Amino acid sequence: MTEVAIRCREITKRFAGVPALTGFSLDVPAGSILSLLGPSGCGKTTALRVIAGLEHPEAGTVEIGEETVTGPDRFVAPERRKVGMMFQEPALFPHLDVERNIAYGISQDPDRTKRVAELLSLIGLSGYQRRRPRDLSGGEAQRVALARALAPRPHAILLDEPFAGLDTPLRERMRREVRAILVETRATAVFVTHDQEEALAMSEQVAVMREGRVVQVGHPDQVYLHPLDTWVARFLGEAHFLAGEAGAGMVRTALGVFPTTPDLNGPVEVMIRPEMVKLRHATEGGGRVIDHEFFGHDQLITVEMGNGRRLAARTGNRPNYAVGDRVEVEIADVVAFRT
Amino acid sequence: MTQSASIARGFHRPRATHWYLWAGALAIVGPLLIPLLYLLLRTLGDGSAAWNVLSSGRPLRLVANTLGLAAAVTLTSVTLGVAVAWLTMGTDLRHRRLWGGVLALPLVVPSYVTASAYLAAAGPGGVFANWLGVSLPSPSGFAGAWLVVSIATYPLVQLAASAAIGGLDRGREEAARLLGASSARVFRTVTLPQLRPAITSGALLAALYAISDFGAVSLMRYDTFTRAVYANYQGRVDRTAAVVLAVVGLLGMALIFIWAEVRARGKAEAATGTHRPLTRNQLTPRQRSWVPVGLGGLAVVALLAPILVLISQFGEGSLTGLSAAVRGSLGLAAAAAVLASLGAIPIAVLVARHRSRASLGLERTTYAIHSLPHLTVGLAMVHFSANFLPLLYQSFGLLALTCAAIFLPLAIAPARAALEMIDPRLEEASRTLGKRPLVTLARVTVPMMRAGLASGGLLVFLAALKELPVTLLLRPTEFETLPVRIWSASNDLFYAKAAAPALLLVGLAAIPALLLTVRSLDD
Repeated sequence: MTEVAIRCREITKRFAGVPALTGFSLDVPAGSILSLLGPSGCGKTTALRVIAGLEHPEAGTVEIGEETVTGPDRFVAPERRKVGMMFQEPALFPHLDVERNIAYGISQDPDRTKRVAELLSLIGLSGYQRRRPRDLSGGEAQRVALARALAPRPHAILLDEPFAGLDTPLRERMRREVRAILVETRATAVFVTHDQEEALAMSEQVAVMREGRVVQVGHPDQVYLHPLDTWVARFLGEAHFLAGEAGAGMVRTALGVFPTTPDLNGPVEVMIRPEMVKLRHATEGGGRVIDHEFFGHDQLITVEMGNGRRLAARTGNRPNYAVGDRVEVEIADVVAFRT
Repeated sequence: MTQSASIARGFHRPRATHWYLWAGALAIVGPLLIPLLYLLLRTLGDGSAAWNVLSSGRPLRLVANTLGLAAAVTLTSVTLGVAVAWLTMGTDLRHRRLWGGVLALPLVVPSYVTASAYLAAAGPGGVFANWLGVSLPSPSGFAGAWLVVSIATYPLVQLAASAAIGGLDRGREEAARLLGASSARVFRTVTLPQLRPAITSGALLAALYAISDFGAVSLMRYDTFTRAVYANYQGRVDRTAAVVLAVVGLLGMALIFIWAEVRARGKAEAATGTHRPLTRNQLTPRQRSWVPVGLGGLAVVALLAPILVLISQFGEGSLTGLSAAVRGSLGLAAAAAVLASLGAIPIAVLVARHRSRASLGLERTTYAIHSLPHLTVGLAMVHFSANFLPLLYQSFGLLALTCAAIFLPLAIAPARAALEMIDPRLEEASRTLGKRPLVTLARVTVPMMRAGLASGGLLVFLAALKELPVTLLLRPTEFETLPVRIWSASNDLFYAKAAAPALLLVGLAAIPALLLTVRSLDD
């Protein structure tokens, strides 16, 4: 079992009566990146702020390392928790230059100049010491914010949708760079996002949140391929659902019979993700293409089956399909849920 | 219900964390609030004394005089202020910005300076008689007070109305036009209703000014509450009459207008969405030729004539003792500015960062004190310090603190605006980087509020520089300021002696005003 760096238990938090966290529990393993993924308004930012000590919950406990930092009769101020935070906006101090921003949390450290230089080289901005925050690009400012958060060598670093303000190409590059830096420094990190792709790509573990609590935690492929329920399945990516009847390791549906886990029996719900659907051009095929979206690296094709059922398929960028083409549909795999 | 209550009890609440903010805020508001409450309770508690003063019959005349002046001044300043605002903001008048700026300038000239200048100019031996050969009637009494207070107050209406006209969105007018309304009907049914809250608010401010003004009405020898309060205070052992008049008459009347003003302001709606300014109305050729004449006339009466009179008298008065008054004025204004800026920090932080009923109440209290007639506030301080704090009685420290507390909202507003521009994440980042709240305040919040604090300090400096009644009541013996010197000389009919300090005061006041204008043009 890996060591737990942050332990949250049954946290409840309301804002003016509206519940934001309803029994939020989470273990963050030390030295790894965990994504906290959920739709907007599910309470993920609140959870981060409770861990940082920027919000006071009504109930529940937070432990960082061995120490209880939030709990009944106990509250450690944010400045004494040693957790770094990165916000959606870089939130650099505009009246201080880059060096002073990064050194802000280590102002007592006699080696701070050296540490700043080290961090600047880590984020690829060596020589930027005298720059002013307003002279930095969005990506540079975010990297300085990361260096500032890392400077005091915090127990953990909390990232609150730090790339939301960046445009797509930069966002992907930053994601990769930040991930590399976090892995290199072996930091414990909690990364909040509402973007499924970002969560899956960024982290070793994904915790899916819904209505103020964590509903599923696991490795990215685990939560994607084996979601706990249809809500998680739908939230993590495009999926098609249909009713089925399970028994003896098989599930019977309107689209055919598929293998499943032997413990499932009786009526089930079956999920088909677009990439589980294979298409082939065929003059006598059972399906007809009714919609077609081309994304460059792949394409999403909606097919209408003979029985009127519609199904989406994700294929490589060729062969090309056009609306009206007749296709043969093969379903490689399905996931069944107990209803 | 019981469960959540028990949880709340069990948890550490961060209640005590802003105690230092409250301590700082109350250090500057408290010294003013306590004397005011004391004065209020003493007066209202002693019914027979109040009755003796009020039943003498004289207060009825004071009410009539004060209200009469307020009505005349309000009517005049609304007419002038709205006209100037419309011409400079709503039409294509040439040099309209310049006109708007020049005609708002009387705002920086204190009413007692204008009063002194007109008194020096009129009459058989006056400056106008020397220049024109004809002596103008002396503008004392109601007419004089009306003229001078109107000059001081129409810019208030002008500025309020100008802001409202500048904030109008073309969309509503265009919608009304497309629905078939004539331009006159559009103005009456769409434009004017949008301007009404601003004009009402400006009008009530003008009325409040007329009620509270002491300098001009006393020099014009027109009997309003302020003059009666001062006369009953000055050189009397028994100050009951002064106190009763200040509290029951002056304060009571002012509170009615403050209440109305707050209500009117609440109705002004904030502009939303993208803003497209109003299309400017075109002046006809005839209007184009006579409008500048009218505006020029106003500029002469309100600004040019008084200043010229002061300049012509400059050499005639003696300059002895002037440097002491300059030093006194600058010292007092600087001390008040520094104290008010310091006091504004905790209040702005409380309101912008820890908004609660209590913090908003505190901020409103400072605004309420600011609106009260300064004479009443000064009297409360004198009364309280004479009875309970003999060491502070008539000390410079108490005078500076009183000025700072009276003008505190001038410092709070820009400080708060600056703070609201600062992302609270910056302070949170500082906390997560290991800095305590007080360290965060000193190293992140205050440095970022610098510009707002400087603007606020400048505004307080400007206001304290011109302050008359509080200084008259609270100053240490021998301590002089320019306003005191101008007022005393004019009150003793030595108008020539008032000219030099008056010009100096206007000059000194123009510097911070200019700095503020430049600063706002930069933005």
